[in-house]
Amino acid sequence: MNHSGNKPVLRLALCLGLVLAMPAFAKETGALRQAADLMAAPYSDAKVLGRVAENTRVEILERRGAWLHINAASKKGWVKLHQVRAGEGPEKKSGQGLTALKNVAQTGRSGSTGIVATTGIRGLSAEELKSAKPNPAAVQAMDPLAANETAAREQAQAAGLKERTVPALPRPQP
Amino acid sequence: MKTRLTILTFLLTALCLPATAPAFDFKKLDLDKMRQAGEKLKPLRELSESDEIEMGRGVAANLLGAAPLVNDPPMQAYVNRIGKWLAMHSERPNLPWRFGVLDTNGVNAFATPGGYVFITRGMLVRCRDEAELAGILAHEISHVVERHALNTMRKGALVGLAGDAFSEYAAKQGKESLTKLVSAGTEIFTRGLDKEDEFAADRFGVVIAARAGYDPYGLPGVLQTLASINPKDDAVALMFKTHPDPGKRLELITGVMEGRLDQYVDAPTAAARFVQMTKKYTNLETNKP
Repeated sequence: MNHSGNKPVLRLALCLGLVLAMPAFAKETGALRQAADLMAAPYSDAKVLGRVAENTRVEILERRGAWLHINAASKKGWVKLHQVRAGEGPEKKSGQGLTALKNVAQTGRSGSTGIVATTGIRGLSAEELKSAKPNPAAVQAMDPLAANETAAREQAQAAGLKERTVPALPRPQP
Repeated sequence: MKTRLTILTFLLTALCLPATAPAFDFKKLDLDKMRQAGEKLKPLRELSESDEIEMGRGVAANLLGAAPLVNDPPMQAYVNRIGKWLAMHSERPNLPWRFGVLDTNGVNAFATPGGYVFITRGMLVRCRDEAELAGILAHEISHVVERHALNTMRKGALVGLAGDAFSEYAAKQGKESLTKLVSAGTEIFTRGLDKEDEFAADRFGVVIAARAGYDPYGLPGVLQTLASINPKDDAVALMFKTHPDPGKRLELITGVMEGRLDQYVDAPTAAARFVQMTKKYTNLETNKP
């Protein structure tokens, strides 16, 4: 090999940099909550490629607004977000959900197998809320953590958030 | 006037009773009790903003008594900056907004009158990215902006704890009556708001997120996740009890967003930054309550 100086190191560094900059991708799966049309593109008036049966297991390839790009039994296409149940499904042995949960959190947007029956994890109960002894000191401890406008704006700008004017959504007519 | 009308109506009704009914004993008529009943029918006054904030601090103290804040100041500050940025794009940007992540595996989020907003650690780790977290915070901010909890308490005015609390507050405005308001405000968390308020907070929330520059489909993403959790799971029991079916919420919100907010699908989600700030919490094998 006749590479001069740092070229291979630079190339490696560039590759590593690109890989590290990307949120890690892992496959997220799901199943159809209802039978649905498989669309060629994420629009209501796109071409209908076929029909996917209820409970068909799918691989979620991409999320785009109210649409999911899925792979359903080797047919790829788009269905609506609300038509798909993310994860393995509502019935699951306890413990299996925990691993899935870890994967979701660690892999960013294209999380893994989703979250299901995480039985064994206790939540905050109504009884605990009702019988709680108030902790005003903890409330005061929140004051130094509060953000001012400047800090909020700086953090927003760092993520490339651009403010826009958006009208209120109408209340859906029954 | 109203009190007199009430008494008059009562008397007329009593006089119209059939002859076989026991004779009406006017001596037993308790005018004081009737005046009190009349007063409860008076429209309940709005809380002043400073009273609302003080009440909110009381409700927050109850919540924090049940579950402490996660001890991670940089992460809490990060969440506060997101929340404040969202609140700056709401109709009450100048409330003393405070945001906190509660240290519990339970999946839930809470907002008190006056601007205390909480999300549980269990809910936080189920978010895929910052836009999803922002969606939840924006939904909660909307409850505060629209005064949903206070209105629920006023509407239920004639019955129960909330009604007594508000009547007393209207009459006395003393420390004791504020305490009762705080109890009623805390009770809302276990009973839930009207489902129309939840749907409304979804609509207001996605608009706040869009105005703040986020991909507004964060909240729908969370709703899809919630719709995929077994409702019998203890971690979600309280949240499922107090909110409408997430699948229904998802259908409604995406329906109304179509043709209006779907133009913003390519807005940032800040996934990498979010994962960085929350990855230490993904180990759930500690299984703390």
